[in-house]
Amino acid sequence: MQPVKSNRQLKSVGVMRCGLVLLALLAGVLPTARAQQVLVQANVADDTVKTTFGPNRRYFGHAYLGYGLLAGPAGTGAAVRYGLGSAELRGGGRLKFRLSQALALNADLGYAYQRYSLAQNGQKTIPSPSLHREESLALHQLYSELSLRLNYGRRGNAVGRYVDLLAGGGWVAATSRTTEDDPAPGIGSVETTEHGLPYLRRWWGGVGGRVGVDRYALTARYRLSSVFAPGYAAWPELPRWTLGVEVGLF
Amino acid sequence: MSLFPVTVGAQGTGNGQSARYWVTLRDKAGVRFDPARYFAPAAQARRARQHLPVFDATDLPVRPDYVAAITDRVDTVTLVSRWFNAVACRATPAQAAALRALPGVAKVEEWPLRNAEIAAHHSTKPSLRQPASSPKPITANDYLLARRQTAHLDGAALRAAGLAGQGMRIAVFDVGFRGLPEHPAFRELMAGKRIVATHDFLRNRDDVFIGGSHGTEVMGCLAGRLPSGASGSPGLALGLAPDAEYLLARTEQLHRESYAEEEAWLAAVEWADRLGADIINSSLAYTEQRYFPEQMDGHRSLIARAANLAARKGVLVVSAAGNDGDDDWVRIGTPADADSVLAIGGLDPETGLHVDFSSYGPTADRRPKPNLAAFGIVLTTTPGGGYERLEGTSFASPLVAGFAACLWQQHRGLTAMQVFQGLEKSAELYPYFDYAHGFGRPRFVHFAPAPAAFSTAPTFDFVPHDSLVAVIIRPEAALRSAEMLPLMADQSEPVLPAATPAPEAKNPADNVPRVGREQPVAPSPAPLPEPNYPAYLYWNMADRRGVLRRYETRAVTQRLVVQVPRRFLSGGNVLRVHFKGYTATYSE
Repeated sequence: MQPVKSNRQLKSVGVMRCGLVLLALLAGVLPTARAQQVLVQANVADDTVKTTFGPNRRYFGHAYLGYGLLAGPAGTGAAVRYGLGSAELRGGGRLKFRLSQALALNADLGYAYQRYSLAQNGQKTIPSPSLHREESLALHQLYSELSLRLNYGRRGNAVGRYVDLLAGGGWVAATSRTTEDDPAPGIGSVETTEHGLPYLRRWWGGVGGRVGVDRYALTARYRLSSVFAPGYAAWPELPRWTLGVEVGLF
Repeated sequence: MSLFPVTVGAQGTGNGQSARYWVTLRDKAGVRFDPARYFAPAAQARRARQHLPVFDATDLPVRPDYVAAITDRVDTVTLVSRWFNAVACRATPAQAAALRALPGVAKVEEWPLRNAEIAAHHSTKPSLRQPASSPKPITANDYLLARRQTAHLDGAALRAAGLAGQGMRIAVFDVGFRGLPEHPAFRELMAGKRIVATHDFLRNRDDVFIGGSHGTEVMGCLAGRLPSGASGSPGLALGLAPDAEYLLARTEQLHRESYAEEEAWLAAVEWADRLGADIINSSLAYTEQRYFPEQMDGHRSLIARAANLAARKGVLVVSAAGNDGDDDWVRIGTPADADSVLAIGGLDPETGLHVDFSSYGPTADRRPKPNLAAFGIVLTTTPGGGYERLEGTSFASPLVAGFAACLWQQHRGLTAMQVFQGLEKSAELYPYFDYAHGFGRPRFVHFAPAPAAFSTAPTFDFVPHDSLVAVIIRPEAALRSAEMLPLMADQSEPVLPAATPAPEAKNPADNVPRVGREQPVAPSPAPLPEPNYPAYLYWNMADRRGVLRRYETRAVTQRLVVQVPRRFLSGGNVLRVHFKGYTATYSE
């Protein structure tokens, strides 16, 4: 069996050789002096530099993925089917600015896909009383959030344990309504999708919280604004809560 | 007085969430202490040998009335430490405030969290666990590695001298020793009842053969053996101290961030001292979960301070440098940063040079670390009766700990720090040093009763030019002399007769000691196939304080190897070069 790292020096040799050639040229080496093979090299100043970027340094940035389930009560006529069908998937980037060992600010930018699976019952009123086998509203959103992070417990260069208080808003970039109906005999199903729904609000805002340990977090978000456009204020409201998890990619 | 974690019922409940606190006490006035009863005979003998006092203030028990007063006021007392005259406990902030008012309490600090990383890297091949009945066969390459990992540290010479750690007591702190008792590699160890004590400091019981298997892997590099031959002769030793006595302590949990681990390490080191450990091997590196690289100064962590205290009590503490050389951390972890801890880096068996995952020095306060180096890729024991090729400075550390045990066995009168310094001075590169290799691998020949002459003749010259200083290899040192290849023979037995000793060099002109080729001559054991690396040239540049600014290792393919601009040597900077056992410096 070959050791996995039996050739590990070779990669660095090429890099080091380039550096050595440069050094030799700067130093005015005689043409007859060929570059030697450097097998181990270190510049201590580079190895020991104190960085300002890291999980518990002044700045830190990372991507993350989140998944949440919609929760909370819905208005009469706007009931949803809770579970995997009514959920949110989000991915974004976070820049953390550390104020102290216990306090930091986060700024997030990202994309979220939100889907409401509407319950098909006799009370249904939105977006119309007609019933289908399946019906859902989908929102593609770009969002931005600011959060205040309260860390507790001493730690080294690690994210540690924290509670985030967050507030943010977003722009709904695209909307769609998909219905699935029982077709005529001999056809499996008929799916109809409408895009650019006028009754969904374009801008929204909300607040929430996040409790985490290192890369893992539990999240809860509450939508303050109505999901429906101002002209549809009389429509019953869809669930406002999203409860989920986030995994930091770092 | 118990060293072990003590759990008591809640005596009061304050407001707020319970947290860990470290309570430092003022004094030990009036306590009774009988060292003859507290210390095991081995511990007493160790102190006597090193001319240390029978006990000192740190050995005295903590005042029982202080402990009782704290116990009455907190939720749980988790540790009572004699060495630090302190108590670790769980308490609410209100209870902690009440503790501060107690007469015997000097200081109450919130006990910081931390996380330990096992300094093992990972298996170099998929770690498929085999059933005990059918361990994975050992390949030829793995078998060769097993021979080389001890041969690299003069295993043949140590065995020839009858040194295998007999009479030495080594404590191993690790995450668990799962599968060790039934592993055939430790059959002799178990049969000889040379595991003299065990304790799990996390669960407060004696069974340590649970939890992780990292301890089993580390023990393989101290006392493991390959399967015995058909004749029943002992198998090839994977480490250098198969005949030593062992104290096994479980102080760590895998994949957990438990507050109890740091207390467990402290309790274990006091336990090991009490039971007479000569050497402690700790293949753990505490890094970024609790610390920043700039805090690795040997004073910040409790573990480092405890390790230094152990050294003062005559225990040689050997620690893995860490496996962060190829990630963002880069530096050594703690307790390898402690001044009196022998920090061991990893070498690549293929090249004999620094293996890239091995953490680099210096410490945050620019002290030189690591101290020594050994193979960071080894063949060792795994649970289920198998053997696997693993990598990590976790395994370099026990190899050197075994080497140290052999040397100390031979020179029993030395103090721990004399052994520490002797190991450094014996090393292949000494007095050359760099932050990747330390002083290199320790060598037995320097400790031999009649050490070879080491008045090494110069092998190179510094030739200053107008703007450069060139390092030119001398013609005689550039020659590679004829060598007699060793006969490949298994070396389980202490001595195998050889027809003729292998000559070191046949060319009289080549009078440079072959540092990498030294083998004992008498009583003429056949040499093991020692790794035969080309002669590398090491150079570094240090400032006037001795702190390295740059260092390199180069393959030598021509006589002109290094040219350094002279302007780099201003301001007290020193150029130091090592080649074939000869070290010289140049400064302006």
